[in-house]
Parts: sequence; structure tokens; C-alpha cells
Amino acid sequence: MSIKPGIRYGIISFGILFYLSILGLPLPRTLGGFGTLALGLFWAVLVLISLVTMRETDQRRYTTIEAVTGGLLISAIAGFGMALVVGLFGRLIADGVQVNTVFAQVLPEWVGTFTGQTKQEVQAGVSATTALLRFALLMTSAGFLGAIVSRGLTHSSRERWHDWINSPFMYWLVIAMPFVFYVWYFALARGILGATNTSISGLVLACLFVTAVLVALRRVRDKRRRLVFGIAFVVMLILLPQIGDQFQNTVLNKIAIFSVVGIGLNIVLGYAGMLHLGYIAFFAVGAYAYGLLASPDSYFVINFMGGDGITFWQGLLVAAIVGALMGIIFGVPILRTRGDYLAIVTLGFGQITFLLLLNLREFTGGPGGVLDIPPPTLFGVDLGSAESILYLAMIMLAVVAFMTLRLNDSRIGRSWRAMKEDEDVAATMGINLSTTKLVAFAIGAAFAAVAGVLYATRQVNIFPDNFALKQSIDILSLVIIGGLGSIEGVVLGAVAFAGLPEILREAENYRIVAFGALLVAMMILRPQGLLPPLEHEEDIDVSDRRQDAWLQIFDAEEDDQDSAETGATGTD
Amino acid sequence: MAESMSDNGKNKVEREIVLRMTDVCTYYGAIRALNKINIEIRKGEMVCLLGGNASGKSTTLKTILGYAPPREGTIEFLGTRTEKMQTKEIVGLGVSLVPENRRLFGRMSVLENLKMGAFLRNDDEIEADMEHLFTLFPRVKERLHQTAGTLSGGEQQMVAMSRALMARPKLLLMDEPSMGLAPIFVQTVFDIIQTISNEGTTIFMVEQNANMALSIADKGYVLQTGEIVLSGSAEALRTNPQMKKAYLGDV
Ligand SMILES: Nc1ncnc2c1ncn2[C@@H]1O[C@H](COP(=O)(O)OP(=O)(O)OP(=O)(O)O)[C@@H](O)[C@H]1O
Ligand SMILES: [Mg+2]
Repeated sequence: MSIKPGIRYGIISFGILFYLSILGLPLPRTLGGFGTLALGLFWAVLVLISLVTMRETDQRRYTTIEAVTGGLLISAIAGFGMALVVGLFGRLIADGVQVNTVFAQVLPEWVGTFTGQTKQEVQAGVSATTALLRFALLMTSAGFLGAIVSRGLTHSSRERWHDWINSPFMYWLVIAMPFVFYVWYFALARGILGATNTSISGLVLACLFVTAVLVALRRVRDKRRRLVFGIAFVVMLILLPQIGDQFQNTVLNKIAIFSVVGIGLNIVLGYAGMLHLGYIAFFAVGAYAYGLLASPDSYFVINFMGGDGITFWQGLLVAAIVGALMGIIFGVPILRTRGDYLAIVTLGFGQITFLLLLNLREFTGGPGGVLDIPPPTLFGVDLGSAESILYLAMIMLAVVAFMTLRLNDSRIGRSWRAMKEDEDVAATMGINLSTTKLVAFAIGAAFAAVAGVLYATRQVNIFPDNFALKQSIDILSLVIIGGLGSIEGVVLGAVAFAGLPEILREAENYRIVAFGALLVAMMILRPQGLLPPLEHEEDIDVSDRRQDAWLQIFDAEEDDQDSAETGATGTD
Repeated sequence: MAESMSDNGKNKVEREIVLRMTDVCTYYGAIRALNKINIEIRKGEMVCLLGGNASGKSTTLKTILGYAPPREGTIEFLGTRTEKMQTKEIVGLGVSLVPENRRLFGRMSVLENLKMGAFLRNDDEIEADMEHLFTLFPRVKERLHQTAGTLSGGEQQMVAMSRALMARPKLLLMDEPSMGLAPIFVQTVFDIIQTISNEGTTIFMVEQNANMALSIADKGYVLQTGEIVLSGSAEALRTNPQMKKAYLGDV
């Protein structure tokens, strides 16, 4: 029966909702009139996830009655819990208690989101009971909605689930999402929805748009449609910086820059399989190369260049070359190291770079950093605005992504992947392991360095702290969370790592906690990352799988041997 | 099948030597895995290496390929001394391997695995060779875009063999091609190996399945704890009373 798990998941859902709302669930509060509706949808999704999980654990199909009972139960328990909490806080606020000195997020607006009241009404304590009743009604319908949708999902077999995911409805829904978010973002930014203070909520929508584009592009596999939607998305992306305000564009350009860095690391880690923990060093080298050769205050510019720094475009070239060289120089000593040792040694490289930047005061400015890094200019036009940087970053991202896609399908790309999977067998294909690794390091480092130039000009002033271990770990995490080996994954990872912290800024104190929770959840639920590389087999129809009797016989034996196979052929 | 074999046998005696291992000793640290191994393989021959578990069969192949370089002795491949060369150089000379347990690049598609096999080639007959392989292994063609790791064991074996053949090897090394295969399929695999051999590829095959291997090979060596204890033509080995004993000794 669905009653016991229903109760359990109701309590869990309540916990999640309580946790998120105390953190200051920014979505409902700032979405201009859509707050309560968004909350209802969020609730429905929560119920949906609970029910699907219930089905997975129960390993059987739920009848409609069971699904609805379960859904309503979850909704009722969690809703009752939330109503109690919200009611309590509403009462306290009405009584004039400063709840937000303890729970920073619990403001009258927060209560209002749940009860559908205005700030004034909450403060006056107007008809809180009716409001909560309305809230309960919303939750119940959400629970019902979740249950009904889940009924569509709670088929007995994975194949049916697969069918559902692959249904035309889902297909078009996925394709529609980018357009929905885009229009929503536009309407919100232009004030059409009547909301004020839309910076954060707009950013949320912009991030959702980017995510939806990534997901949609993966979904559309038909070449012609891909082209059509691809062009549509490109046009939308080109117009994107025109919609946003400065804050949104600043965050978006950071996302794009970190995507470029992530793609570089993805080559080293995702393709070539080398865990490089000091990768931020290459980003730093690019940023400093440009900073030191361009800033009018820099030691080099003053002493060797007669006060005239290089331009942004020259900076890109210099950084690419210096980055690639650095990649090779750092790469040579670690050619023979694998696994754990590689990680430790590269960690050391990152730290050394950081310490050099910090301590070579005379050249690098030490902790004082490099200041007044000039903006890019084109034909005398200053391209230093958040919007222009966003354009530059998007162009850079497009170029780097394109190069990576081409590389991945080339000889060198295949040798990276082969090497990652099995160095010994890769060597028997005739791959030169050393060269292959060095090429990966050089290209990955050059990408990071080029991104560093853009980052330097975006920041105007750079400091060693921008390139500390923490950033290295952020970039590593974004690649892993996004999905090793996939470009869409990296971009999504960048959205999560560069965008989410800005979105959660309101919940400053809880940010790290929320993030930690997210990471742990991710690692458990989706260890392959959010958008891992697509499997080739998706191209193959299931009906295409013929199997003979003999194939069935030894399929089982095969697994045993595979697990026993390792260890037989160590070279060093 | 039988005719073609005796045919080959007659002609091959005169042919040039593809691989000659002379007094080869290979060590893993202090452990001596191979002791004074002498092996000779002529062009177009199919030679099999038999022996029990841990007798050093795989080590012999690794030694030829330079993964486990010999400490003593010489290896000559088509007139070039290779015992001090690196794996990639030896592979460049035209040796390719079907590894023990297949070891495909599991996350790549079958097609990409085949392309990896042809990694060192840049002639324009790669496509044609691939088509030819598809006639030997129709199933590989069917699975061309599947992720290699998801293939069944037998399919993986076919892909592993195709991958090695894509290099157009002058010497094809095979480590236990019949391992883990259902008995009916072992026959299929050996038939295909026979076909490959008849097409002129020189083959050096490690096998546990002595009867099967000797039924298609021209020549055989029997290895026991790193030493060659028996060698000779396939017929001679098949009828040798010691053979069974030596072979069963380590099992
Ligand atoms: N990398 C290694 N380091 C140390 N010892 C090794 C190594 N590889 C193999 N050996 C040892 O060398 C001996 C020969 O191993 P090898 O793999 O050549 O056996 P094999 O004849 O192929 O056996 P099987 O039929 O079981 O595959 C074994 O005792 C094995 O433990
Ligand atoms: Mg072996």
C-alpha cells in the first residue's frame, strides 16, 4: 500500500520544503505575482519525485487510487507541516516579533508567498486562517496534480518510463522550455509582469533558459530540426544581453568565462582522464599575462614597454601561447605519474603558481594585485561594459566549444579517450602516450589562459586570491557536476557554479550549506553528472538488438571475466 | 579447410622469418616469467602457444610488444631488433594485438574502436578494409554505432579482432581468443581465424584450448613455467603423448 511510504515521503518533503524556505527559496518571493503559483508547481514536482521514488523502492506499479492517495498524503502531511510553520511565523510577525533576526529569510513577504497575502496584510494579521485554507487548497491540488502526472510515470517497467520520456509530448515540452523561459525573462525584465526588483528572478530565468537550451539541443537528434532550433537558439542568445540588466549580464559573462575554463579542464580530465588539481594556474597565467602586459601600472609596461601596454587582442594571442607552453612545461614532469600522484603533484603546481603571484611583489604586485587592466577596444570603441564582455565571452565560448567538438571527433580526440580508458591497450594501437598527454595539457591550458584574459579585463583589477585553490576546486566540481566529457555538461556546471551562488546570494549564510547539500545529493543521485556525454547506443533501436542463444549463454560469464581482467598488465 | 592447411604448410617453410625470439628472458621484478624462450614464426604461418595458467603465455606477447621488455635475449621482427623498442614503435612496425579479455575501449562506439585500430594508418584503403572486415564479421557492422562496452562477450571478441586487423598487421598476436565463449561460438571464432590466416596474415595465437588451436595451426610451442617444453608441427604435437601431460600439468 502507498500509505506508509506516503507518510514517510510526506515528512521528507516537508523537511525539504522547510529547509529550502528557511534558506530563502528565492523563486517564489521575487517572481512578481507568480510566487504562489510557482510554489504550487514546485510542490507538485516534489510530490511527483516522491511518488516516483516510492515506485522505484517498491518495485511495482501503483494503481491510480494508490497514486492519488499517496500524493494527497504526501501533500497533506507536508502541507500541514508548512501551514503550521507559516502560521506560527505569521502570528509572530503580526505580533511584532522580529523573526528575521533569527531566520533571516522569514519576512512578511515570505509568509505572504504561502498565504497569498500582501506584506501589509501579514503584518496586520488579517484573516490568516482563510489564507492558510487557501494555501491548503493549493497544496492539495498540487498533490493531486503530482499524483496524476506520476501515474503517467509509475508504470511497472523502466521501458514504459523510457517510452514516456521519449513521448512526443515530452519532446515538444523540452523544446518549448527555452522559449517559455526566454519570453518570461523578457516580460519580466521589461516590466510587463508588473514586478519590481527583478534582478535575481531575471537571472534565475536567464539561467533556466540556458539550461533549457542545453537540454533541448541534446534532445533534438534529427539533423534538420537541430539546425532550425539551433539557429533559433543562437538568435535568442545573441539578443540575450540586450534583455538583461548589468547585474544579470555580469553573472552571465562569468558563466560563459567559466564554461570556457571548464571546457579546457574537460579536455584534460574528461577526455584525457588526467585529474589536474592545479588547473587554475593556467587561468591565472592568462589573466596575469594580459594584466601585466597591459595595465599602465605594471612593472613590465613601465620598464620595458615605455608605458604602452598590449591590446586585448594581442593579450589573447600571448595568453594562448604562454598558456600552452605552461601546459607543456607543467606536463613534462607528470607524464609518468598516474592517478593519485598526478592529483597531488598538480595540486602542488597550482599552489606554487599562487604563491609566486603572491610573493613576487615587484613583478606581480603581490597581494595588491594588478590594477586598472584596460578594457577591450575595437576600432576605438570601448568594449568594457558587462554587455560587451558577455558578447565576447559568448563568442569565445562558441569558438572553444566548436574546436573541442572537432577535436573530440579527430584522431587526437580519439587517442585521448582511448588513453583514458586503457593506457596499455592505447599504446598497442600505436598511440604515443607522452605526446598525446602533452597536447591535452597544452590545449586545455591555452583555453584556460585565453579565458583568463577575458576574466582579467572583466574584473579590471585582479588579485592572487582570484586564483586560489578554492577556484581550482570550483572548476573541477563544475566539470564533474556538469558531466565529465560533455560540453553541455560543462556549461550547465558553470551555470550551477557561477550562477547559483549569485542567485543564492540573499541566503548568504546558508549558501555553502545549500551547496554542500546539493553536491552530496548529486553524487548520490547522478554520479555521472547532470548532462553526461550521450551514449552511442541511443542511436540504436531496441528492436534492432537481435540475440542468439549463444550470446545469451556467455553474457553472464563475461562480467566475471571483465572484473578479473584488471591488474594483469601493469607496465611500470 | 584441411586442404588449405596442408597447402600452407608446404609453402611456408621457405618463407621469410617474421619474428624470431632468441634466448629471451623476461622478469617481473625478481620473478623470472620467461626463461630462454626461442620462437620462430615465418610469413603466413599460424603458430600457437599453449600452456597452463601462469605459464607465461601472455607475458610472451607482452614481451614481443615491449610492454614487458626482456632482460636478456634478442627479438627480431622482420629483420629489425625490437627488444629495446617502445610499444608504439613496435606497433608501428606492424605488430598488433587482440588482448586477453578483449579490452575494447568500452565507452567508444564500435566504429571508433575500429578507427583506433587503424590509428597509425593514413592510406585511403581504410574504408575498403573495414568493408572487408564486415564480410568476415557481419555482426560488427550491425553494431557499428553501439557503445562497445555494451556489446556481448562474443561481439566484443569480434570487434577486438576487427580492431587489430584494421592495422593491417604483419603479425597478429591473439591472446586466448576463445576465452569465455560458448562452445558453439568457439568453433565460429576459430573458423574466422582460419579465414584470416588463409588470407595471408601471419598469426601468433595464445590458447588454452589446445585441441582446437592445433587443429588449425601450422606449428605450436608449449610453455611451462616460463620455459618451452615442447615444440613442433601441429600434427606432431597433436600426436605427441607428452603433449597432453605437459599441457595438463599446470591446469
Ligand atoms: N605485471 C606483473 N607483475 C608481476 N608478475 C606478473 C605480472 N604479470 C604477470 N606476472 C606473473 O607472471 C606469470 C606469468 O603470467 P602470464 O600472464 O604470462 O600467464 P599466462 O600464461 O598468460 O596465464 P593465463 O593462461 O592464466 O592467462 C604469472 O605467475 C603472473 O603472476
Ligand atoms: Mg594470459
